[in-house]
Amino acid sequence: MLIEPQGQSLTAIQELERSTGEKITDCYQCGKCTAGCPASMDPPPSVLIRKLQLGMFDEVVSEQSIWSCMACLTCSERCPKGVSPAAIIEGLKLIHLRDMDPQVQAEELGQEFLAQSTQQAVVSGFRKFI
Amino acid sequence: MSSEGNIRVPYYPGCTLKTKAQGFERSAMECSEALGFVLDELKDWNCCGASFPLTKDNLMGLAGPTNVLIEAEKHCQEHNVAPSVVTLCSFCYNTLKRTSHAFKEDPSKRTTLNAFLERDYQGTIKVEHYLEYLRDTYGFDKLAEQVKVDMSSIRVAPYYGCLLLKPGKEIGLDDPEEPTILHDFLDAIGVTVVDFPAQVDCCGSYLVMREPEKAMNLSSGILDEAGEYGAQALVTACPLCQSNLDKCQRSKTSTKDGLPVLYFTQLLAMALGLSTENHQFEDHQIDPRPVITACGIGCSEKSE
Amino acid sequence: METSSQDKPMMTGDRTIPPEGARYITIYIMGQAYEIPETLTILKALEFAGFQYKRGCGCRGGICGACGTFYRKEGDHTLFTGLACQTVAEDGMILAQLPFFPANRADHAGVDMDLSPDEQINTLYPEIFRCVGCGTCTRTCPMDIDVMGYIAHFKRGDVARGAKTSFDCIMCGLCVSRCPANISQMNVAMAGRRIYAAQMMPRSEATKSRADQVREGRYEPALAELAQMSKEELKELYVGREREPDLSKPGEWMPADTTNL
Repeated sequence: MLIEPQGQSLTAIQELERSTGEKITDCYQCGKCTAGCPASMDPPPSVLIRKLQLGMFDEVVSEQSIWSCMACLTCSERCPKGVSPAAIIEGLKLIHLRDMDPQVQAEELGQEFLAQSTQQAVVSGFRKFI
Repeated sequence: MSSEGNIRVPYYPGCTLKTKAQGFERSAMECSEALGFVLDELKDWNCCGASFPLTKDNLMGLAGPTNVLIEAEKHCQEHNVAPSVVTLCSFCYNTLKRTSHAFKEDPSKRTTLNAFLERDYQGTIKVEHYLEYLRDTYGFDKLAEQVKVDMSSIRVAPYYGCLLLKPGKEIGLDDPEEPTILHDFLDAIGVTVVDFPAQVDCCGSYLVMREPEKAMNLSSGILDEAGEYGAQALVTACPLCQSNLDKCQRSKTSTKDGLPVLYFTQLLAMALGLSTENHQFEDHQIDPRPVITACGIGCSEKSE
Repeated sequence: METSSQDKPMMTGDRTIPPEGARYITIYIMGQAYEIPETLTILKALEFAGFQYKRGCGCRGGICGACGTFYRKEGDHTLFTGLACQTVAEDGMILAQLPFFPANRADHAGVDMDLSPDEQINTLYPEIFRCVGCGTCTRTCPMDIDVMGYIAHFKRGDVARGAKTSFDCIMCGLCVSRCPANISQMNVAMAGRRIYAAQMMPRSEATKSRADQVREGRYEPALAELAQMSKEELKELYVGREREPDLSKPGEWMPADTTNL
């Protein structure tokens, strides 16, 4: 049985595909992305994508596990279908960030972190969480 | 064959090399001079943005790296050298290289960025990593001839991390899963290479901002594995990997058998017999000097 | 005794005498068209049109930063910026003043002085790391400061260069209003200059030794002598003072009386 996403979910998923440039239906659920994910995301990338295929956009977009992705790109590198789960996850993050829903408050990071961290970590973190 | 060290290589340092990873930059500068070329820093540069935007519609994230590429293009025209720029930091390398790749793949992005920035990037810059320069332009064979110090007594695990290699199709530096460039580099300078499985695992990266424990666990895993395979030190090309791998050892209860994490240029300097006094080893959480000295390699504070 | 509003002394600029035969041009203030004589600055044009600026107008010399202005020209997509007191009004200008813009100002007193200068900036204004390098601030700055450049300098820990690059900032806030990363550039730069001046700038040995002499009372007698002079005597002393010739080489000239050197 083919479950087709409908209504608002369909629009949101189409919008996600447009934003990321990825084709969610390309995924055939081999699970290589999940097997290689060092962030031990729960639910893992392949499950997130499966749920998107089933039209469960609202559930996926509010999963906490998307914030554990550190864009190491192992999943994207190993996908035999050329899908980039990392890009889809970043697309999901951006939906929050573009809607002014930051996951980290710059003011609460603390002096030690800000003083001791490499700029790479702070700049990247700000791009991905704020 | 240093013809007065007059080959000038356009060079983009990136922010971290000016603060937390000064030893990386200084050791690279000193090695270059000893090898007969000069890293010629771009006059004006800004942050590259550190992470390449993964979504296709996030053009704003390309503004930073585009500005850097424009400065590089300007620099090369002014100095009359082939349009290229060399970086040391894996993050900068990844961002700049992927940006230039994105422009090649979709020239309309370059047009959009040029119109927005009111500048003109012509798309000519070739982004290279310092390792890539040593391998492809200088040559590892030639590098091996320059080695003055026997480094074989130290067992070093080459740690690549993620962004130096991935995505393989765009970066093209080496095989993203089975890379050899750091191995070959260490071979060339005579270090005993410890091949270990976690060499391309993620150190936790910027997750230190939101879930530091998770990031530290990932880093610990890499260190444990390197230790198990008998490494006395790790070598990396990324200041964030260095910082994460280093910091997670500080937070562990026992630092007795801590593994020092070095930049590849610091080992190169030792192999070339250069002084390490500018290497900022005091910034490292795990001071590499005891291990190196114990291996009988000169780790001189002052050139004698 | 109260005077009527018309008898009140006019402030500078309130009354504009247009040049003889001046052509009238149309400008738009908050969307409304006004006819004003050409050659006026935007500020004078606003006043000619009947607006009185109590805030949003200060030195009239292009240095206080109170009269930041955004404007467009008819048929041009570009958003221009300028200082109202320095920019000449042109026909068809569509104007909006920006007397004030909310900016984040960190509590400098709370900074950990054990940190290095660049780390202090990082902890005060972490939002600089949100800069995407779009360059809008630089294009906005009416003082032609490389705003994006100095943010880049602070980001990479070069506080001295950031302080120098930002030195001409007049705190008008136009950059702050345009930043897509919500950075308050002008306050970052202010913190940078303060940290540079307080902790990094080389100190002059000569200033220190002279300050010590002052503290030890070396100039008390001379000051006492001046203090009891009459106004006339002071004037005479001032007018008749010895002056260093304009073209004398440094170190060559000496005053006749060297007792107070």
